[in-house]
Amino acid sequence: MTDLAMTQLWLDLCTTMSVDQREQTRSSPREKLEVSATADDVGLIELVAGGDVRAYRQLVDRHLRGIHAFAYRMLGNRAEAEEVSQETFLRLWEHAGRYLPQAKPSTWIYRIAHNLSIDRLRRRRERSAPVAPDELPASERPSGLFLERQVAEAVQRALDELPERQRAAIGLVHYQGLSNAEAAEVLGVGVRALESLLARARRQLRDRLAALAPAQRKEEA
Amino acid sequence: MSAHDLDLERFEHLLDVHGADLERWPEELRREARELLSSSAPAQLAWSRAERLAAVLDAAPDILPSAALSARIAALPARYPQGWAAWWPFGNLLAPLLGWGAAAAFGLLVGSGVVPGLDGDFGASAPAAALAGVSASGEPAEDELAQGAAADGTWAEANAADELSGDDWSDFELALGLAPGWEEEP
Repeated sequence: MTDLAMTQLWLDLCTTMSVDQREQTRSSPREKLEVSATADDVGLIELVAGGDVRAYRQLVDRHLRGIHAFAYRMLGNRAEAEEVSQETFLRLWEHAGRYLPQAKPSTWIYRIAHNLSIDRLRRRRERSAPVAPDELPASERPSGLFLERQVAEAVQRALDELPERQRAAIGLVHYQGLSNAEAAEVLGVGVRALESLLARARRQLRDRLAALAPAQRKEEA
Repeated sequence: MSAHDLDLERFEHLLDVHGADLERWPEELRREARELLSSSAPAQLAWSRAERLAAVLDAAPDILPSAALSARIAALPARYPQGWAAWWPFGNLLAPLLGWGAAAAFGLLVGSGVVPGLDGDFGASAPAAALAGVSASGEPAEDELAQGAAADGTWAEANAADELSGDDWSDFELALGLAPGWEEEP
């Protein structure tokens, strides 16, 4: 083989290798994943597992509001809801490496928050000292109207009176918009069991909140 | 499932399970539910009841996280570093490294005597002065005297500067067996 042929072969080989590398980069976007507004939660959790603080903050931006609202629905107390929210994201930061992509990231995060909330409710029972539910802060009342504030507080009281699992089911499905399957995964139950929890919770809430729907009573009369 | 399978009782149960928003119902049930709603007044009443419950539940607004909570949560990675940094009690690794580096560099500079301001008026250390050709008392060193004398041609003075003490010579000669007065000893 002449020198010219060897050189041509070498150039062809280099070209082929560089194309292969580009293809490899395209086919494995995770390796080049960067934090951006469009990055999916799974990719962000992988980055958090590697210690990426920006990815962590992106996840906080996406999920803090929902987690905090869910914890408040479960506990009915603002201070405890804040503690559960903080603990949830600390667990996310420290244990992101344990996340298994079979579950949706949001489901995984809600499950952490749910378990922490249940722990707190259990400790409350052991202390047999119920925590008084918060009144809504003035700045967060729907419109400052007395009637609306009363409705909001009555709803929270009715939620507080539900059994924990029913409350969690309503909190996840009605308020946080999770599907029945996702909520079942968070609670660690089957979909049928979750649907049973939802049905009982809605019936109980309808009974307790009937006074808040005078128009409904008129119709039924 | 046909429309006949979805009777009022089952429809009410499904309203309790899936809520009043039919878009959130399983796709295979939506059509039957709409057909029943269009033809049954009791079904419409049941749906209306479910919708009112949803509206009442929505009257309890989400409690928004405070700015302080958001800031605390955003700062968690700094308080609880991951990996090896979790076992390092001194915070940022760069700070102690810079401190150690600066201390080592200063020690080397002092040792080599090239630190500005540590000679002249402040009194030179012996090694630094030796490098600078000045004795600890500020007098020129002997080597420099000898070189100066040699340059002037005064070899006697240069030799005198090089000359060791009498005791040293005696020891040297004694060692060679050539000490003065050796032969004079009885």
